[in-house]
Amino acid sequence: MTLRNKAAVVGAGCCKFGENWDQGPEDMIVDAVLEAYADAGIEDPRRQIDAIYCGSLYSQLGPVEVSEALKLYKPMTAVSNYCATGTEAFRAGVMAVAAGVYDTVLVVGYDKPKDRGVSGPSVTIRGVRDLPGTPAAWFALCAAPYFKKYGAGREDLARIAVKNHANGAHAPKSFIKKVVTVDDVLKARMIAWPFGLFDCAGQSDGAAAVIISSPAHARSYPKDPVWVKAVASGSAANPHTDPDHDFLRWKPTENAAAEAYRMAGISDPFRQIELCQVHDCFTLTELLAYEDLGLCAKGAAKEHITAGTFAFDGELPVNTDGGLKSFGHPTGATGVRMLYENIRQMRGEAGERNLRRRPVTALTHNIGGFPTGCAITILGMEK
Amino acid sequence: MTMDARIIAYGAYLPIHRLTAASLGRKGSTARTLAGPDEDSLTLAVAAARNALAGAGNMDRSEIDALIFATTSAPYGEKQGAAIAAKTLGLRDDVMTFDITASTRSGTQALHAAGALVASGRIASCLVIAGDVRQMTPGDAAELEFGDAGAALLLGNRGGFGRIGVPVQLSNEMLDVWRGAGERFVHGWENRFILDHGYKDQIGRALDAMAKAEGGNLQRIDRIALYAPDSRSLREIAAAHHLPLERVIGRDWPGRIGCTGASFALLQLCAGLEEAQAGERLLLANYGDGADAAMIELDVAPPPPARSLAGQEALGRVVSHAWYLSARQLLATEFEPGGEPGNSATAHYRERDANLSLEGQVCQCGTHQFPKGRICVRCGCADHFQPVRYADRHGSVITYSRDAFFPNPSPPTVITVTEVAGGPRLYLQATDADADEIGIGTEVEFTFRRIHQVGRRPNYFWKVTPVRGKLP
Repeated sequence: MTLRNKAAVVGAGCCKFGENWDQGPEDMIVDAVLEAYADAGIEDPRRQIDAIYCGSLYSQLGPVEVSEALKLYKPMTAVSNYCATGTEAFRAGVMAVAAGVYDTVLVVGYDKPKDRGVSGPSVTIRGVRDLPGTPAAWFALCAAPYFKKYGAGREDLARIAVKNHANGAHAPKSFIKKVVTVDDVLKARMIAWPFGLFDCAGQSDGAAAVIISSPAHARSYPKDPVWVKAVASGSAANPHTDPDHDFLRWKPTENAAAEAYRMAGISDPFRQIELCQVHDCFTLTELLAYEDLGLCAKGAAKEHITAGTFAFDGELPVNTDGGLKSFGHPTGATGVRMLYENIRQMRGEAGERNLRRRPVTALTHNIGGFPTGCAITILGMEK
Repeated sequence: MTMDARIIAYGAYLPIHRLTAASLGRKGSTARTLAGPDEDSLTLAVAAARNALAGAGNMDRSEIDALIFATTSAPYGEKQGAAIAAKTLGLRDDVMTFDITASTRSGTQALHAAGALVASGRIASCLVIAGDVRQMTPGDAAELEFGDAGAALLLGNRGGFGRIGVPVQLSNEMLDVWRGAGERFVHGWENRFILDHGYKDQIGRALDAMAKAEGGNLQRIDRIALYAPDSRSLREIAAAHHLPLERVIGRDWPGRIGCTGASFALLQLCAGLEEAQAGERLLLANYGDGADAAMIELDVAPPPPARSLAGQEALGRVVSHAWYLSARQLLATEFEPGGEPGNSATAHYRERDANLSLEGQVCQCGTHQFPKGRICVRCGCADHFQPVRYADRHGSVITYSRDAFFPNPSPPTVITVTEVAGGPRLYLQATDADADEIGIGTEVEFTFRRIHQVGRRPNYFWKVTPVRGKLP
């Protein structure tokens, strides 16, 4: 089965990400969805939207939070898959449209972690077995084996942070607008070796939304439809107990990428994809994504980082809006926020941030859990 | 017909941390052993038991009929420590378990109760484990007099290397040292009163009774395990009863290890057994709400210890005052611990083999898995597993990180994925090690620890610690 060209995005919206002290989930959801409505030219959502797909990891209320915020009472579904939650909500919406169940669905991803009163992740003490570290530490588990095998180090990670901070400084809706140097990154306080503060995504609140339409209706919206070429989800054994893990890769990305490329008919991702938003919850997560997505050979990320391959004006720009580094990671929102950036770039709507070469095919990548799950989208401007 | 109460195995455990006079900004060179933030009386006792069983060649644990846990600082007011230890040590389900608590003498009381049980012939073997983590009020001069340690002895009615005689027992009611129900800190009345009418009087009477049975004096005793709250009391009691001080085991422990409460006399006995020869006679005398004393005669030389006390003492690492206060939870906290129910008791019940015994499983395809599951991670078949206990194997670190964010008195917390030799991979924290002591390929062993105290109770699991070679 394939989802290729069976649905299209006709509108996208995104609220300002940040420490949104004066906004509750409702405000952020409404900001993102009103922008998506306007983008799609939707004037009567109660007539034009058939169903709602919500992605939130921390919501206490579930999809009611979205239906009550929008006063939009439609079939609603809440989706959750750790940090891939936003992309999973999109996948659920695409599948519903592709199956012909609905003509038009609204996807909303959001989270509000900054109501918890802590600046980092909260350390939840439950059970006894799954406690050893915080997310930075478990995402760092590839560092020692990878550094040992391929000779990479903290400087290579730092260059990823420098790139994403620079990109995020210009993105209007980003949380952190701070340009940093390699030296700043290396000298920052340690969070979990090898990650210093600037190797870690920020903690922020945010919401993003997209509107998906069936192929039959996609061209009736004011803007050119952005076609779904693939939406894929992959999983793999928990690396903490996987008897065969080499800690040089995250297998869920490899599994999801294989499925996404098959669906989209991509055989040479580095040549056929022109823009990527990848999951940079930590700098090493982005480095591994280059390789696990097949954008470069295993072990070659370091050379490409040095060469600037993935810089804003590089051969294959990655995280042009600054990524999770600059937007923070309100979990459910992240995957949808990535779609928002790709759609803006593909339509040439990013203003001064428009890429020199407008991308026709673009990829988003979320990975989460320990990590145990990954979701990938590939969108294209041509049907 | 009564049988002998014989010693089959012995083991001692000292935590790695040391609190010194310098740590507290005081003069002098006094030091004491200190349990870490992930240790309590039960984990110390379990560690000693594992050393004892390792010293006996990791004997078949299904032969152990009973387990007694001795402490003044039981982790629960109502709930048995011995039952937790029996599960942790992988003993049989039909093992007899009980705790003997509330007195510094509970270590020898447990030993003599075990002796009576095996000598009766009703049971063939009994494991006695003692551990104590007593807390003096912060700032009290006596804060450095206490120590934390575990000791364990396996008794049986045949085999082994020595025989424990029938003890002299004395009970004495007075308020000398006490801790009220629900209190944290140990109280003592005026020292001259409690020493003269408590320790010296009671220990003196017990020693007199032993001397009488020996034909007038204790000169023929080779080694003496003699509880002492402090070094001065030890010197005075030895002089008053003509005990050769050089034969008192651990006579310089006050000021180096500290008085380790319920485990102290048994710890001295273990130290004596490490060096004792065949034919030696040892005296074991203990104090607390009375006194007891017994003679131990060795017919063969005890086996060498799995980990010597001297070796464990040499591993000691001095901590700072701030570390001590944080580790022992002596600092004010932003929020009082809540009255939440904590981890699910039903989940704990289902997972006790995994969490306490570190028991996983091996599939018929040969793949080991922890925690247990219904489906094999490699071959995918269902329910073709045999349980395997991994706690006593070594492991190798596959990868690690150093988490500065995880709550810890001295960050970072080292987290590891560790592969058990011939076994599964486990996701475990490291303990008793500096961050740079853990790397890819580091050989580690498993140690039973208190992971956290959610629900205001100890929640136990395992950590890794570097294998520090065979201790001298």
